[in-house]
Amino acid sequence: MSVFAVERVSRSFGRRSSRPVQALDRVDLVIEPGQRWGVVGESGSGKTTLLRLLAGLDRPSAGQIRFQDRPLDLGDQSSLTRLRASVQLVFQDPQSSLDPRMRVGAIITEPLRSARLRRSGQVPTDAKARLNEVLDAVGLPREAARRYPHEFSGGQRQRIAIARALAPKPDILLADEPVSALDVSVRAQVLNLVNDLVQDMGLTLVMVSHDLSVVRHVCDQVAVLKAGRLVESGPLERVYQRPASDYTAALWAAVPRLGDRWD
Amino acid sequence: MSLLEVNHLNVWFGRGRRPAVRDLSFTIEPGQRLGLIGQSGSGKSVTALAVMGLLAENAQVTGSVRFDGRRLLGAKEAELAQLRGRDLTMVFQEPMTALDPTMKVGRQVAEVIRLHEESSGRETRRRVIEMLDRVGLPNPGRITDAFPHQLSGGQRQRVVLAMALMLGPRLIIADEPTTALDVTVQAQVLELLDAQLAAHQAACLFISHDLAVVARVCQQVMVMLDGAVVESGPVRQVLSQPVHPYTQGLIATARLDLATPGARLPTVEDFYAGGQR
Amino acid sequence: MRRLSLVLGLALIGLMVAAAALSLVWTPDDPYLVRPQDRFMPPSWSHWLGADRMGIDLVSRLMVGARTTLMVGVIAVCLAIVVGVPLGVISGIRRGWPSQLLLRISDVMFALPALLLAILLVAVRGASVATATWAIGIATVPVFIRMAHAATLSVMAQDFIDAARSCGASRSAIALRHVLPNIAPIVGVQASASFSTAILAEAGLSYLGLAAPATTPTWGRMMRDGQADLFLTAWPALAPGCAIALAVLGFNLLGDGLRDQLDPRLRELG
Repeated sequence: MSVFAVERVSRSFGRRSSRPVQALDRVDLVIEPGQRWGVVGESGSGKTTLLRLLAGLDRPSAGQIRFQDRPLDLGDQSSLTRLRASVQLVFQDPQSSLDPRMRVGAIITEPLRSARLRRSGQVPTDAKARLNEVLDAVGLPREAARRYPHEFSGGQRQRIAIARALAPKPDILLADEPVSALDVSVRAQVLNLVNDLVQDMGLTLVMVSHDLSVVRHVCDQVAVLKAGRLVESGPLERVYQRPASDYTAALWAAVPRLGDRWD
Repeated sequence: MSLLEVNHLNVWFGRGRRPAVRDLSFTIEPGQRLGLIGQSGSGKSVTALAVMGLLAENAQVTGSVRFDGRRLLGAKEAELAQLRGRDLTMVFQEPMTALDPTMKVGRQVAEVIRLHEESSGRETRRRVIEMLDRVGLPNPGRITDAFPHQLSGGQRQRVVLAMALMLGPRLIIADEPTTALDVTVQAQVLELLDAQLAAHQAACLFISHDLAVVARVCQQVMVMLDGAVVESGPVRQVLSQPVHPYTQGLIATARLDLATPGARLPTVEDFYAGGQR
Repeated sequence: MRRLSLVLGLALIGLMVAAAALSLVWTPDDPYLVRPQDRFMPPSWSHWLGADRMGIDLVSRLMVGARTTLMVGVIAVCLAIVVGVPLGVISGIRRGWPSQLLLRISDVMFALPALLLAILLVAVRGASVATATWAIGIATVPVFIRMAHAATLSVMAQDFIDAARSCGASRSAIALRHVLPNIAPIVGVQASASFSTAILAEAGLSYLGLAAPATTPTWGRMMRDGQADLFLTAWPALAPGCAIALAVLGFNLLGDGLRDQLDPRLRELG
């Protein structure tokens, strides 16, 4: 059973008058349980659009997405409930994705209060206990629950966002550029955390990034998008060692690195 | 004489708060490129704004900043305005917010000329288009008539760069100029900045949290931690023989490409316990 | 939807302006001629909206009244913009004690209703349309000071202001080229809203007899005269009442539409 099957999915945005923008163009992708997928491409390549489709935040203009072998239908309540109960999202900017007027504890347990998820019976019912569990898991002190987001640094805020995503015990974690708003020196901590959590909890991961070196660290599969089209996909080491397209090679070459001259 | 001379610079915001910049001294020679590195909140941007004289009104500043021998700290706004945009320019982090959304791109670049020189309308337009072409914008004639939101992030940053380069400045302060861009565009913009700095023989204070980016552009580097410089020297030397444990940590985290995939990445805390922020 | 409110607002205001302009050269009947035999006549072919207690044609009186109403609104709002916006912008850019003092004074004035001001002015200068216009204009100034001040503060916090300063722009250049264009949409919206408030205020002052003398037809004056006879016939009160409501609606719609049109980021979505 696959987690997601993306079947010839297109998504175009546009108004009636002007020509529409093709954000995704006939993309095929199968995501199996336990896989860790990286979706890479330049800005405007459609990678975030793909993630939003998987998260059920948007629907394809053509083609279909199957979630756990059943077509994902946003109009159907039971289909949506199944998706929301097992899929959670981490956003790019922990500055704007956390409500500044809510305490961290309330932010993290918010998904547990969702009536829809509670009815599905898959969500931990003891919010207090779960809060402590996820705070421990992301390496934040328990007293953090009583504080507000602005009291934390960027890296810590992203930990809070990850804790919120983990609270309802999802099987699948979707992450949209989770480290690109962070300092390079903080990036390592968050990537280590994601790696540990995904492995410990056996999560399926789909992570969007413009930086191949970040994806290479966390993922075992990679899909390369360019202008809405899937350029190549497959096991990461294969794509990394022998990129099938110049575009992938260029993405890799663009990563700034400390020169070899001082090694 | 140094082009920029900063001596014992201290900056506070409000009483009783820790200083954002503590006893900072450095010089930049003509044509020299100095990288200023540190985490967010370490005082890098405050330093840049202090040099430009753009700090908020509630900032208290002591020490001295001299540009080409002239005192900048405490100078009159009108005197600073004369220097800014001509000899001393700045490139900002967010190309979206650094451009006025209500003004066409060409006019914003032309502003720089109008503020400092007498130039006919036709001549100004010619120079603007020429500069937009030089920073690698396709179809510069059309871009002059575009509003900022009609351009991509990379194109906008090229416009900001065009404004900074327009009058052949002697010092450009670049505050995280590529942080908001994705890696491919970042590589292009860095290459452009490198080439243009060389062509103008301009000096540069380059601020970044990314050592790899600084190493790409600068010869000298300064590492800042909690408002103070902990290490400085030629890039090559600092990268190969870092003395301060914090610098060692920064270097370790910047080498993502060399780490084994899936293995635990080194963090700054492995080297320097006080770095947690 | 955005287009719709702009078009509808412009249409309503256009109708009002056209009626006012037309009244300079033609009205269906003499707006000052008393015809005792037509007293309280309901709408008919000779009087489209009927006639008032003096037997004067209501349509003609409304058309002439539109002139006064428009004039009062335009002059009062222009006065408020010309005085209020520069003060608000300057106080937003230069934050010294004079600015603070100005803001406190405008706060106090803001708390003072236009009506009170009008009564004071009437006491000094006597009731007239000009006095009412001054009173409404002065009472609206603090609205624009506060609005322009707040909008300027938020514009000044943007990066592009620092960017402009780093290019060597002086304070006055920033005010003229960056702050004013950026707050223009808000000023436009506020102007439309204030225009409708001014129309209402003028109607209210006329109604109380603090503005126009009985011989000058204004919508508020007409309503006052009409409501006295409300138990006999509704038309003399209803007609100016509807005219005021439509004019206020028109300016509010225009304000909404204007806000979206003046913002280049929103313009393309339309």
